[in-house]
Amino acid sequence: MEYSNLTARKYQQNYHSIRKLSHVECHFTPPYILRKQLEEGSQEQKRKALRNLELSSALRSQRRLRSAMYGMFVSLGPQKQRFIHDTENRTFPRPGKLIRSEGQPELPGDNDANKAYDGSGQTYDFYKEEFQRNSIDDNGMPLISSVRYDVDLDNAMWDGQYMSYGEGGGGFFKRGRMTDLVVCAHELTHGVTENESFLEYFDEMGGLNEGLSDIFGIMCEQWVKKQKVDDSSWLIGEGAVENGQGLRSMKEPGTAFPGDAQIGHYRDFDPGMDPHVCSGIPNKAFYLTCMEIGGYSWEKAGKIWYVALKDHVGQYTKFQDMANFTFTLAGQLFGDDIKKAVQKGWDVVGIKAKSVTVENFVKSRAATTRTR
Amino acid sequence: MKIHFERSGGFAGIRTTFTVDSNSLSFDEKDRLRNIIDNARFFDLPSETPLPRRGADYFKYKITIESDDPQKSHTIETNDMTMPSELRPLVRYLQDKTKSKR
Repeated sequence: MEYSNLTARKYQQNYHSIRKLSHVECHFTPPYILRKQLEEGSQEQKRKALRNLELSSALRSQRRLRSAMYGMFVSLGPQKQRFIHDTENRTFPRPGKLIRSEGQPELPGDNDANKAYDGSGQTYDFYKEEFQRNSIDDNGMPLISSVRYDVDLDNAMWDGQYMSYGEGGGGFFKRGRMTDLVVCAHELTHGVTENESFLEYFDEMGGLNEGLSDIFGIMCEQWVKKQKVDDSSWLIGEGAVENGQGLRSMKEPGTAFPGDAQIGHYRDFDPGMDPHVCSGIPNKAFYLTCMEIGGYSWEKAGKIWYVALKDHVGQYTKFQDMANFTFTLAGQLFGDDIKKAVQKGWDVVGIKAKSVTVENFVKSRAATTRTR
Repeated sequence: MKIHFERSGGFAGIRTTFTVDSNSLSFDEKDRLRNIIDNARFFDLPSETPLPRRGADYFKYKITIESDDPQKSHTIETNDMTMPSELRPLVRYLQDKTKSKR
């Protein structure tokens, strides 16, 4: 307890400086536009562009400083460090006012804040106990959640440093359901994927990225509920939408709500699709594999998918690569029967998994951001 | 003046589109909208903001304004992560409009 109080104090001290830095971050015009204005703009534009270029170079060093400051908490040890912030129905500045730190009591009547605290904690525990992973970066990174983002907002997102949650109630999602455990685990997994692979967010890579978040999201929900694969609805956001059973069905993509456009077969794939639409392909492959294996999803299929994500998924991994990785790893980790189960899962969604020398696909950790 | 608003992406990955015709607005609201657009310096903003290099499930926005007087049209594509701050009040206004339309 003393330890976490120390963490919280240190965090609050540093947070003030971090917030000052993040306050200026969104004002910048991209350097390429500024350079263009310098070359072709009016006298006034040239003057402004020059000033902005100076500012944006200063901001880059501030951003470096900021990530170094977040690093200060990291060294505090292999334990959960949750921080809940309140954006107070605004979008900026983010993450907003700090309202609860690790070890502090529940906030009376603050459903979203308490759910985000519990959800990020359960997700941390799931990764720790099942995959021996210590937080988003596997190095104790603090789990920062920001609640009441915007007004009645039907969204939750991972912004590269923390999770932001709207309140729902905007017409599609029910109020108070944006902080459900499956959503917390989905967003936090985006952080894991980003830290492990910098997997892109468009084309097949985007679908795979979204698929990983749904897959680890539903697994975490099943883990907390101690559900076997037959007992799960395999719905992401079950009962959380106003009109429909849920947001996404991993079992039958495209059937969760009226107008659900998600696809569940590779023949329907188009590179321009939203990542949440084509994620039905890897989602269904995982669901089918789990049903074929039976028992608890995280014990075998989850382990295979986790090793693939941790050791082999890279910036440009596509569906076929993921099928090959999981197929090969299944054989290495659990033998032929499980390998066949993985093959069957991918087969049904239109992807023929092949054996590969996975050692040849050890990802490069050189990437520090995505290319676009 | 016409404003076409499109929001896509987000945790749900659903596309929402909406058009506002300023002729259908009350005098006061038209005035308010014009102020928001002027303050954003909408027609001076670059038509694209860079795609985020990190993050996921953020909304993407496409806003087109067709003005009659003077006659001009401009489209901006942006997102929650790299949106210029002066554009936020306009996005907020349009999001609210989308909600009340339901």
